Amino acid sequence: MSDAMERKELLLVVDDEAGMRDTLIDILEEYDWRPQLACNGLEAVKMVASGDYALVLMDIRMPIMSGIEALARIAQMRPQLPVIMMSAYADQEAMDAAERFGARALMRKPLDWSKLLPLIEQAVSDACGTSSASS
Amino acid sequence: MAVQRLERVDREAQSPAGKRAETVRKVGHDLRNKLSVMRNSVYYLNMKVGGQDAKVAKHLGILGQEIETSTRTVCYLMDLLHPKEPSLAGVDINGLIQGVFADCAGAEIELVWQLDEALPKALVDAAQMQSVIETLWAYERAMLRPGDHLRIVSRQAPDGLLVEWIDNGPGLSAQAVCDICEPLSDAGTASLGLGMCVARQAVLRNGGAWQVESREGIGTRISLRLPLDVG
Repeated sequence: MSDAMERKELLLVVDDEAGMRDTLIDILEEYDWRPQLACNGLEAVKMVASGDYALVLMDIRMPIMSGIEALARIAQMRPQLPVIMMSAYADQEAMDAAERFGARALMRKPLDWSKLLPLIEQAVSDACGTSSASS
Repeated sequence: MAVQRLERVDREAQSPAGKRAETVRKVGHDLRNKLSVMRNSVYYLNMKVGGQDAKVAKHLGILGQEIETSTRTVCYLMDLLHPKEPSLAGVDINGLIQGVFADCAGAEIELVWQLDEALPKALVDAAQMQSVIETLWAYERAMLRPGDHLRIVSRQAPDGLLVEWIDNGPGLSAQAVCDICEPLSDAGTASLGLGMCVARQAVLRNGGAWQVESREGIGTRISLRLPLDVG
């Protein structure tokens, strides 16, 4: 593991499956991201309201509050924050909703890490550029 | 009208077949989640220890392959019971084929490419066509032996766009040609038959045509005719 000073930005990982959260956090840490975890959409919305995240990686189907509803609230609260949605089997309705509420991408599960990792890098880099340009 | 349609949808969902389909959808979704966790674990282990020992790497590879096959089978089952309406758009079929093969390198089958570089776009659902191509490739890998040839042809035809998969493999009997899209046949694995059945349905739903010709000892030709994007 690299020095704490070299570590990348804070990411929020949202999934109701414990196994998914555990594996995501281990892999993201290997790539020097600093992931934090939420178990459902409501928890994610609360954490985004109080935390300084560079990106949210969020499942669609979750109890208490779905990923789509959480995405809509996050988009209102922090429109520049990139959100990548994940789904084991997204129907057209969910895909349309994700696009409508400004999701950066929709990744199918099982995740293809060769696509997801560059996507995270790019989304965070784009968002950093946008926020520094607007400040 | 809208109320009538909703009532019909509701009745369908509550019918025994509708309930079975819904159960498969939910269980399938759960299974894909579990497979996703397994794939993440394999990815992590590969990263940490895969390079240290050839046998560990080999077994991680086997696990990865089995996870891929199981994921595909679950998807086939869900697509069979919950076929999605195609979302039609102009699609570069050559690009789609090349994209699938970029991820599927390493097979011991000799590939011969005859893709028409000036091929016009097809009016199809890109995700569904990608799944069809992945399934055909999985089928060929299961049927062909190392050293066999697979020729992939794309060209414009008078009534659409033609994609052909022509192999010099063992070929199929007349009965096996009839059963190629039949999940309950004994010709191959249930998963493969299921996949071919779903692939054929997807081609037909996209306004295309599907044809299989084969001769034992000579090889098999699978032809897909897809609608052109004339817009």
